[in-house]
Amino acid sequence: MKFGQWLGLIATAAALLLLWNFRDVLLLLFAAVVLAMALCTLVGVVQTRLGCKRPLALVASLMGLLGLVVVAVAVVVPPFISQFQELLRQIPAALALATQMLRQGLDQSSQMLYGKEALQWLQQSWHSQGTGGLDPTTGVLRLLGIAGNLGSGLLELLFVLAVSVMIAIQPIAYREVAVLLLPSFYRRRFRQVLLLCGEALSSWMAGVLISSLFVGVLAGIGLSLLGVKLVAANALLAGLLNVIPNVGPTLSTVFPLSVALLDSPYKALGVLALYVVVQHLESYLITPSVMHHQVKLLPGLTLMAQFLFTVVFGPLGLLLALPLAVCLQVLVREILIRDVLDRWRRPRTALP
Amino acid sequence: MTLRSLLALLSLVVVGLLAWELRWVLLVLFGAVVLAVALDVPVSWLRRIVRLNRPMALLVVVLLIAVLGWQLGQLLLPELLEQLNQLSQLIPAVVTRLSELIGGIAGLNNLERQLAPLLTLDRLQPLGSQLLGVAGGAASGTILLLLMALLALLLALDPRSHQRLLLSITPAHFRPLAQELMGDCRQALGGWLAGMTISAALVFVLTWAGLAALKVPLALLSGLICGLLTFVPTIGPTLATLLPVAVALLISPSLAVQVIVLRLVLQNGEAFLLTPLLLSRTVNLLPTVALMAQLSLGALLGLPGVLLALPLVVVLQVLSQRVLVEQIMDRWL
Repeated sequence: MKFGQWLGLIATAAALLLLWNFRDVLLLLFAAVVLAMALCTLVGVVQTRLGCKRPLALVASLMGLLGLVVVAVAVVVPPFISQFQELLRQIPAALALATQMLRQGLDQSSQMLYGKEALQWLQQSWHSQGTGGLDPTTGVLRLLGIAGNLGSGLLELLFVLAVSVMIAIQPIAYREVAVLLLPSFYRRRFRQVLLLCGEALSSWMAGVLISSLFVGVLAGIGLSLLGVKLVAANALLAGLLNVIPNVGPTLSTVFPLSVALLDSPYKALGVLALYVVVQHLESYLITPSVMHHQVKLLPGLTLMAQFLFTVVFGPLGLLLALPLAVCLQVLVREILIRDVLDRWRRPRTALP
Repeated sequence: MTLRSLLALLSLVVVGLLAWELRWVLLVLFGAVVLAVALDVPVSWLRRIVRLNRPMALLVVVLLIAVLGWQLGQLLLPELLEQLNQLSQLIPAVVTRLSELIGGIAGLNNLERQLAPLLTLDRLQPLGSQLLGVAGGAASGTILLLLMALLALLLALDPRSHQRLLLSITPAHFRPLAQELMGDCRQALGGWLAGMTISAALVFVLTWAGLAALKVPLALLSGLICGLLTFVPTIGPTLATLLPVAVALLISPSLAVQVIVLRLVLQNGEAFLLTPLLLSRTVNLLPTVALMAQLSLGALLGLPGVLLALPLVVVLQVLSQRVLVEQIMDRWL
């Protein structure tokens, strides 16, 4: 290897290290790109339907989205907030009920096993654990920390929205900049790969939108049939959390379960059964029929990706794990497998 | 691979690590270069009109700037001081007004009550050390600024020999390109600075006039801050809007809305009409690149990084366009 090549290698390594330092910013950028991709898909649909030019379609779709958000906020939020407050108020009660039931069960089993003395010891230890650790000042400090997190989260959200709108205004300029940064022998191919990535992302997003709608509506119908309170809040939560596979549906079960537990344990069982059925319908019936077969990810791969990106990027990584996995899948298939590994022949050692 | 190239490689790695460790110093150096370019633009302009040697021209420019600043200060300082005084009186009023407005939302009262003992408790102990820390930070910041100004003066006094110094530590076959690169960077930075100065001045005058027409107090101070923060695109104007809006909120909410509309119009006009028009010949930055650079440099170097992000991006864009794209990637067949 010549000096120039070594220099290039070291420069590449340094650039990679720098990128690793900026991984949080890069993740935000990726989120913005995903949002911009969604926006571009919408703009494309609007453009073909209305038959107008791109800027007009962009303005129309932005206005439409804004109107949709405003209407949704105006219609859903006031009852949602009251329901959510009620939900938050009920959770401690439900938790108390659950712990009481658990304690009773434990008491009975310990009574059966050890006799009556163990019961009092257990209760004492339980109470000492339950009342300690709620200092008012630490509560306030925690509240302040939450407020600070909320502020920075809001800033990040604003940043992501601004960047995604900027990218959606002139997506081709950004793509060309990305293409220019590669060696000229690979530019044409890389443009193709980028287009494939965009297609995979937009078809994944369309699939998720449909299946989330489906899950939300099904959960809402089931909950109202079961006569559980707070239907709108729980259905919305189920639909939103459906974006995160594996973890989200489990989380979304907790709230309606605790609400139903307040009424009666049997209702809670019914809610659990409903959510399991909806979840299985979603994962074995809707998703396979809605998702394009190119975008389909193996379930084990999904879980692995979630774990990996959560470890590397934190909670935002969990939220973005699926789009990242979809993009990575396309990149690995096109670049690593087709362009590198498929062409890798054993070097001929016989030649001098 | 010979021993010679191995040694060269190793020393390059060491130099890179050293530069990473000393990135603060490099940032100050870069700030000085930007300032020097800012001085160099009027100096070379002056030399083109009047036949003067460079030190004389620099002296004239610095004197001109000092006299202009002095005149402006004398003209504006009494009013500014009065307005600053007014501001310090206004701040508690703004806070109470805000808390009144927010107090309508029931849940927050509770939080405030909870916060009150904490604040007094917090106020007792560590305030002294905090004040010391702030004072120390301000002092070292002033020293750094002075150092930067001095360096800029020295650089502007004799830019040719500094350029030669930089040129002589590049390999011989690279020198023509390096010379060209330096000229390009200088031109891009100068163009960017000139364009931003014009647009900042325009924003200052328009904001001042608009706020005065709306009869908002502290119009001059707000206009000055808005004009200065125009140099930090996307983040600066948004921050600068806070002061006049807070002051206007004190008088009436409708006035605050008017001020917000005025600032929005001015800011968007500046960002989407004036700046692209002024910069179209020299630098062409994608808006996202500026925002991303500010975020990354803020994460890397804090507030000074955010302030100097745009000039750095201008230079980096020229370098990556000329070296990475044209010299390496375009030829890699």
